[in-house]
Amino acid sequence: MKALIFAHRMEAIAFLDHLQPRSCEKNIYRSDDLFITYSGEGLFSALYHIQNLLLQYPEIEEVWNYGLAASLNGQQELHTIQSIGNIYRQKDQENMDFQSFALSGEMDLVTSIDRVNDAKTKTYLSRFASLVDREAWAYAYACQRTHKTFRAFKLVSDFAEDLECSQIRSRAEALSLMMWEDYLQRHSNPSLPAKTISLPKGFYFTASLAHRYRELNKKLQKKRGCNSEELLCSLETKKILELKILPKEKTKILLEKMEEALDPDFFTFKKKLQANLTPWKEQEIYFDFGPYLEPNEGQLQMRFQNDKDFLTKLQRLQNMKPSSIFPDPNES
Amino acid sequence: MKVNKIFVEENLQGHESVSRFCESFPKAELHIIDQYENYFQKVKKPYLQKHNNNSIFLAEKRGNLVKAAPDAYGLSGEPHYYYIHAYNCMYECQYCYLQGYFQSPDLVFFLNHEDIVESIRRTYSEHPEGRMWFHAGEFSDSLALSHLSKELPIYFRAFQELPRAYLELRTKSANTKELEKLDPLENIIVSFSFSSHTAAKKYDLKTASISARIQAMYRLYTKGYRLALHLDPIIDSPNLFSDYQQALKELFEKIPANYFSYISLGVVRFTKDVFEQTARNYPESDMLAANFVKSFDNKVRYSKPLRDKILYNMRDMILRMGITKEKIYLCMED
Ligand code: SF4
Repeated sequence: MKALIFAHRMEAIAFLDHLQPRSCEKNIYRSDDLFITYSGEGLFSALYHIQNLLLQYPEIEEVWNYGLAASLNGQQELHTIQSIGNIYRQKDQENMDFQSFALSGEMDLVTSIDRVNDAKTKTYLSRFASLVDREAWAYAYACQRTHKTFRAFKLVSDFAEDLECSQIRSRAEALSLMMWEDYLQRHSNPSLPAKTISLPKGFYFTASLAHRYRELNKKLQKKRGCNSEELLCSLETKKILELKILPKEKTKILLEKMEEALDPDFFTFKKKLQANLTPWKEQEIYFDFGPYLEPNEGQLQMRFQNDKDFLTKLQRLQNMKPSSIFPDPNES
Repeated sequence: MKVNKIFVEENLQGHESVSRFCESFPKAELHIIDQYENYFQKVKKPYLQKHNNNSIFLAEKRGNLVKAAPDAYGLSGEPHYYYIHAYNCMYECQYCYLQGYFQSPDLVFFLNHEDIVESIRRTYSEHPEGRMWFHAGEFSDSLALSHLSKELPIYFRAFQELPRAYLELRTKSANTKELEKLDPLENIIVSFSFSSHTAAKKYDLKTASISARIQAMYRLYTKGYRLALHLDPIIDSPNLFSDYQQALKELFEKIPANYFSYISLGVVRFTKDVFEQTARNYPESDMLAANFVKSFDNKVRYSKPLRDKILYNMRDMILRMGITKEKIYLCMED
């Protein structure tokens, strides 16, 4: 479900007229597949309103902000609609909030603490962004915290510092209509969500195993230039499924096969290392080089029966270097 | 490169480089500011903003101008330093560590090269004996925009008087224009990051192609410049060795293999932060389609056996192509 958020009712007016949504509570309207709402002006109203909205209607997955913004550098054509890229926030007269939000658009926007009506503030803000509004950072902040997708589209209504509210009010309906038309165009052409890799049948996956499986699957598809189906076929999953073992054990085998396919050198090396360690194991001397077999870290365990056995084993260890157990890379 | 804004520190307004940068990017807005530190990295800017929204800062570097380089930086046993003449790069290598290092991809060019040179001289005098190394390009490409920054003659003059000091200019560009105007010096080495045609095309976005780098090296070779190669970072791929062999063969047909002063070899590696950033910036890159593990120094690398295999085979290949053993060093490896 998507929500369209505005600062002022007049910005939303064309949307309300065309969609005729029902009012569900103060400033919030709902149609079958859309919420329309307005938050009031300024960072705090915006934050308060959107947090309430997202809390009350968890079915909202995506929020789009439409609204007016002023140009800080005078380089945008008036009445064009800009898709927003980065959103910054002015903290006080001479400081910016470090936290910013990157959206999918191109034009940078700064959310100011006040209306910009002096040249000094305009110059300062123009060093960070081309457009200024009063709310978008708050919407982006709330969306990020609740893992909602956020996009913002700003209609360049005037130049900062020249701001004449009465003029904008008189044009409000026409400006809202421009945003509505822009919305219709974008809405009919949404970008497709990323496809998640589905889990193969007949295996058992916990959440973390599923995550591991998807990671490996994605990497192997890229490495081999194939799709998921072709990949599973090449891994001979059918044979694994025919084994008379528990689904959990089948998953273990599948993941091991995938890991081996991704880094065969690592597996060959591991096997050779295990072979090199066998004579030591037989003497109850155990080396452990950690899961990634980095030679600079290792553990040694030794079992002994009595003092004599202890000393004999120590003597054997005295002349050995752990690195000598590592297979020679030239051999692989 | 699309530059939207140029920021100039007010005391540098009359500097000759400022007009060169402004003329090269005539559409960029000019902002006169007090100090670049008040704007650069003051807000978090996404790395990929460099696609279409770059700012350039022309500033003075304050604080440490020369720093000791990390261990295993170059040929071992000698002190290595790098000097800071710029932050960030116009290129976009998918593995670049700058994407996790700065909080903004904006480019900063420091114009007070005389101060940097002074700092180099001081460091030089602290080591009264033996060779020492200075590297440019720790935070940027050394040559990519050298036709605008035009600082090279200052360093050439300085290094002429510092015979024990070696300067390495490291690049992925083919921009040798400024170097060609200067006379080569025995203690200035131009090193090129080099890989296969396929790898450079896939991962070294916006840099000069391998063919263009070979041409650039050849131009410098005919001028008598000392050259070096960095086969670093090597990224595993199905035809890794044959692809590298092909590119190296093309290079060594133009310039004898043993002409190169040294060759470094390094397998792709990341700090944890850079690795995460890379995965966010290039989620579809096949560079990430590998078994990456946390290695001996906490960096994210290929598993040890794969690293060893790559380094061993690569080393063996270049030895067979005529490079002597002493000239090869393994970069940032145990
Ligand atoms: S050339 Fe160097 S500094 Fe520039 S993007 Fe590539 S790796 Fe980074």
